[in-house]
Amino acid sequence: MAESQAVQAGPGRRWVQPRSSIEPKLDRDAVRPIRLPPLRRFRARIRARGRLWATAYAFVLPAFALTALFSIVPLFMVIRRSLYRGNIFDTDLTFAGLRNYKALFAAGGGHSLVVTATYTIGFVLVSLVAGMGIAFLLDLPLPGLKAVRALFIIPLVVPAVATAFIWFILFQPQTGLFNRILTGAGLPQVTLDNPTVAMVAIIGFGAWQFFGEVVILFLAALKTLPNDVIEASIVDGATGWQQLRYIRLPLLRPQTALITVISTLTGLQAFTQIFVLTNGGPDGATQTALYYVYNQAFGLGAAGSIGIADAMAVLLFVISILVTIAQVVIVGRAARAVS
Amino acid sequence: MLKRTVGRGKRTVWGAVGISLVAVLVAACGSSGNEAASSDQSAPGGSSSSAASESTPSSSESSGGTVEITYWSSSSQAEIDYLDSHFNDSHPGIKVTGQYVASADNTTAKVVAALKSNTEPNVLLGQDPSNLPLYAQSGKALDLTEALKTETDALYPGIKSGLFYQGKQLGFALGGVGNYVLFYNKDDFAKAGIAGPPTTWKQLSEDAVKLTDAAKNHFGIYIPLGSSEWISYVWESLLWGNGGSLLNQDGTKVAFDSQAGIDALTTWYNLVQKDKAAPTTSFAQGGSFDGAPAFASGAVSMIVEGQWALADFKDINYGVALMPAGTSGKSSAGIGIGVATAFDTGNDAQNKAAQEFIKWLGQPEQGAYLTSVSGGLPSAPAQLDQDLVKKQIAAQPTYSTFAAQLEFGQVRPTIPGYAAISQALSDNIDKALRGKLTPEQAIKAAAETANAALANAGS
Repeated sequence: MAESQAVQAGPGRRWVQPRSSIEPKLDRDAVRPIRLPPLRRFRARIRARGRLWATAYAFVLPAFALTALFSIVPLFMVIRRSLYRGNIFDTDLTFAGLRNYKALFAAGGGHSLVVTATYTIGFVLVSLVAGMGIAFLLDLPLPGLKAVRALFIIPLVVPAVATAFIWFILFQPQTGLFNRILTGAGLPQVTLDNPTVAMVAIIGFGAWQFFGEVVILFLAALKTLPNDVIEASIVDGATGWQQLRYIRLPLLRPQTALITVISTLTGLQAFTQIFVLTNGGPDGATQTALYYVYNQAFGLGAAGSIGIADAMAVLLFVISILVTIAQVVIVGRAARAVS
Repeated sequence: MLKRTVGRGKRTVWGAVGISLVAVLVAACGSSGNEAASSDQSAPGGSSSSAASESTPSSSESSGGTVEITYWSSSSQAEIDYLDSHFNDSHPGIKVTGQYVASADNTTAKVVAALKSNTEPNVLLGQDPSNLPLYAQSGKALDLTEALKTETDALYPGIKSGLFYQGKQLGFALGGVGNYVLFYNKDDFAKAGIAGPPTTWKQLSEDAVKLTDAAKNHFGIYIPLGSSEWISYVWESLLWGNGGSLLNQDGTKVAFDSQAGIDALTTWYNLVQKDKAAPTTSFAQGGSFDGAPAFASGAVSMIVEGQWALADFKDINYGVALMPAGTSGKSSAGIGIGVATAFDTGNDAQNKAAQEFIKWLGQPEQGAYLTSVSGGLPSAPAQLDQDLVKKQIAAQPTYSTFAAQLEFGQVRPTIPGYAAISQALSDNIDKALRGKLTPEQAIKAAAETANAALANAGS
């Protein structure tokens, strides 16, 4: 088909297998200057390689130790704690097996997972479509566009709490900008007390904050697209839309898949804007799984359950892993389709 | 050549291992430092524990019999300095040191973390008694019943109940409490020919209808809309005014699903939905659901508000009155208090000193000081006779009414499930006020959610 043919010549390969040509060279370079009899040379090479490995691992060790101390160990602590009942101070721990996981669903946890799914789907769609669209626009050869690019980084670098608070003010009844415009136009007001508005607001904020990253990634990917293929298609009389549909988008498929994985993981971890904008309300309509964890652990005081909070954290972890694996498989397939 | 390479290689390896060891050690020290510092009880006091132990090299007992204790406060540094110097000057055997901790939502997490890692202060000047059950779970909250009996009996009666949990007194109410009263627009009342503020909700409803001018988008009263603690907090005054109560005798189930509760919500429901005498859009602003802008802008003629709103209302010719009475004929209002809690650090001398410090804070002079610097209300009637509070009474015409309302006030119940009960209430009250549920349905739904939360509480 035209699609796969066009793709054949593409440089997607470069992206798929970038490292294979670099690694062996390193080893050889390190050993080559030493000229010795064959056996000694072999031993020296082993030793040299061993030294190289030891040095390399020694440099990796601090990062690994810190990861183990602050990520892996706490992860197992959370998994273990999710199997126990008791207060937050662990003064009355009793083994509960999987009862916390059951209690989680009785205490509104299922609803918060549905909210998380809704949010993540909305978030990924909006940031991908907006990010990709703007990346295509910024890729156009127009004067002054380079200066505009920086604007899309602003939401990324400003602290989320500060920008979320600006959104909060925008949604204020009577006085917020949105509602002044709406009342001015004779329309009913929108406030975060409305479940739909609240959901749209947190998706909007999340996507607005994140899509700059998507723009950068897509823009970088667009810059690597081969000009010859596109020029050839122009010679063949392809319209702009045909170029986009049959050449650029298929060539971008591996990057698109990767960006989808990143966006999904970001979406699953939404918290800040919910904390600032809605507090999970109204009536739990924006209580995502992560906010649920916070609420059970700290928000509800003594009425919350740290066991349920940990169970939800573990559940969210498992879901994230599963979603990532599923998406990585899709990325692999997409990559293979290209090469 | 080879040797040199080997040597360099080795050095590189050991250098890298060395760097990583240092990094790991630094990380390990960072994580265990707090525990190490607090295992000897010389330096309790959270994040700055290591600094504290450095600045006080001799341990608390050995320095000439002086017991050193710390407390956490979210008030100003000036207040901390005042308390430190005045207490230490009058108590030669004890040295208190106040530490400022930021207020807002994350204080709870901070205190929990400190209690878990044994770095808690001896005394916490907290803002919220609803955390007392949580602190009780740590097993470290000291029972103040004996030490503070006189001071506690001197408090306003409605405040006292909030300090006890499971039969133990875990907190003491500091000066500077808050409540709410009814604000009314004198000009609007004069125009409508109404002589004075209503004294019952029945009368208030009639007045509100008279004051409403639908054509001009003007309403008689603002009933708070939205999902927030403020909504249930104000609504509770109607429940109590109707003779109802939030919980049953032993606190195991809610009791607001009574006729008193249904009547209370019906009063609000009718004002908003039936009589259209209250706005149907929220005037919440900046996370405050009291709706102050509604009254400040003249959109409504009455509102239930606290002292903090006075500055917003400076352009309005208003008066204040006690909360209208319910069907029981009594007025009632919620009271918000800050509490001092003492934590057991396993050191008797420190525990005694901590209680002594709270006792001192409970004297009328200190109570009046805290009341005046906070701009709030006295926690005990005796503070009204102190000069500092007298000055406030003279400066604020509304102060006496607010203080009088304290006699008919109640604090939120101190139980683990209160946050959940309040949330269930405000969610369903809001649904009723927006016409999605009848008052009966809303109260029933709130009671079901709240009872489920109560049953699960603390598991």
